[in-house]
Amino acid sequence: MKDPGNMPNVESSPLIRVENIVAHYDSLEVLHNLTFDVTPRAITVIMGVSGCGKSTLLKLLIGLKKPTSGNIYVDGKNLVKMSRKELDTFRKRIGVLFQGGALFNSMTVGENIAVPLRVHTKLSEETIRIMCQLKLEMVGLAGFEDFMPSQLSGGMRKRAGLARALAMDPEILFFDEPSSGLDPITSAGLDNLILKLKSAFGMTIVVVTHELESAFTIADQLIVMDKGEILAYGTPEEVKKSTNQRVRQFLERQPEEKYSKDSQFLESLLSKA
Amino acid sequence: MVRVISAIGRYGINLVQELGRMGLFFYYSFLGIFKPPGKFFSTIKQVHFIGNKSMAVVSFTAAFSGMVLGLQGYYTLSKFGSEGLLGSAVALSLIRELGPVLTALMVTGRAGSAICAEIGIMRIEEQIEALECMAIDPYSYIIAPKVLGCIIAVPLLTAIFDIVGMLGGYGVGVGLMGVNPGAFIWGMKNSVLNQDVWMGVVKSFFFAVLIIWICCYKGFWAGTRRGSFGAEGVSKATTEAVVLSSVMVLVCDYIITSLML
Repeated sequence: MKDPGNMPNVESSPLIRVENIVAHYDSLEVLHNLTFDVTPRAITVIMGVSGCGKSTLLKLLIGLKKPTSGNIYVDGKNLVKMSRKELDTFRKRIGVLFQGGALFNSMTVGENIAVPLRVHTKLSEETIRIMCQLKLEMVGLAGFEDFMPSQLSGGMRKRAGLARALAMDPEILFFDEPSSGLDPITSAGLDNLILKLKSAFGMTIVVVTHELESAFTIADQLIVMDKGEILAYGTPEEVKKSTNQRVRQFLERQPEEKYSKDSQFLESLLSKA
Repeated sequence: MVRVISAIGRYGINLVQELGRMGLFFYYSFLGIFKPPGKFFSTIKQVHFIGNKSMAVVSFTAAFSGMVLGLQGYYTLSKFGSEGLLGSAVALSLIRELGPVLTALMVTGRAGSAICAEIGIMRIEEQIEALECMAIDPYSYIIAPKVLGCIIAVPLLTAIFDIVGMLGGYGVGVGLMGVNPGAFIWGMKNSVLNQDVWMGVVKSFFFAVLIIWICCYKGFWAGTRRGSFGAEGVSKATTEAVVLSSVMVLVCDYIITSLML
């Protein structure tokens, strides 16, 4: 059971407001007029099938891609129209965990975590070393600071990537497919870590995933996407009650049924051959 | 007919776009040199990678280039009874032309390709995006130290190439062919002027900029173009970087020579 105290406060003003976002890849429209809010100190999960546009949406939210039209307000400031300097100020407030961890291969885990601290702060090397140890302790990788990324497993690399994302004590954390490629135990461990980050540090967290179990475990607010559109948006309970055919298909893990019989499937293959 | 014209037009537009992107890349990389963080240690690391680690291959190439120049020079000059001019022929060829060009080609093959692949892998593994998300300018953090390192290392490697090449030429000319050592050294000393050395320095500087610009640019945008994603994109970018850098070094060599003669 989810702790009711962790539910988003609907009265609080949104930290991020996405308004009528449209995005293209060349001439192909991948996001069609999306509007939603990200509540502060809550976990917003964006989920949907592969290719539905959720990773593109994440890129828009962290300022790596510009939308064709629409606005993204962060604390009232429009991310789309921010100057380079303003964008950097915003990015110092966020942490991003990429799908593969995105660790710098030529550096040790400790050096990876030290990168933002060395660039943005004037802390002594000793303080930076202690901070790296603390961040690794937070993600359960204490003692791994001298390891190279290639010596770590997939799950450990993601945890190390998370430690680096936490280095500057961000207000907002973005996760791109945190559970993909992980075994169920490691995946559940990462879910617990995300929940702890929210409850202990009051972070606002945005997670992009297609893992149903993980999404319903951690989400305070769920967005279900398909073909560049939002199909369902609300608390996990509200989404579970959705009557939308496509949402039901996604939640109940029903495959795309093109052929009801095996013979039809074989005939279609023969006709293409 | 319309299809041919539209294909030419499309090629022209793509070419102009690519040149524009390369120009912007150069501009941002140049600005990156003056932006924080400090680049002293990262530049030293690049000088070590581009310069120190290329010493063996550059010296080896230089020795054999000098030796073959000694042989060919002796063969040609002996027809006119001017073997005594072998020293000046070897020295001038190396300092004005072969030194800068062959060093640039060796650096392109050894360090340029590695730099392009390294940056390309950073791109496809989202490491460059990760830097941007940490509010760190990738041009300043990744590219600028490589640019500075290359600009420092290539002229120094060229100087080493020239000296080793001349020793190779001396070894063959004097040691094997029996040219008078005094005449060899005297010829070198008298024919090489400051402007010859200056031409070599100018060439090596321009080649360094050209190599690092092309290799970093190709790596930076590796795997992002349509039809060449992922590892295939990196391999394609590395090939393009080496071929384009080598060709541009030779083109640039002709232009600089014609301007400085």
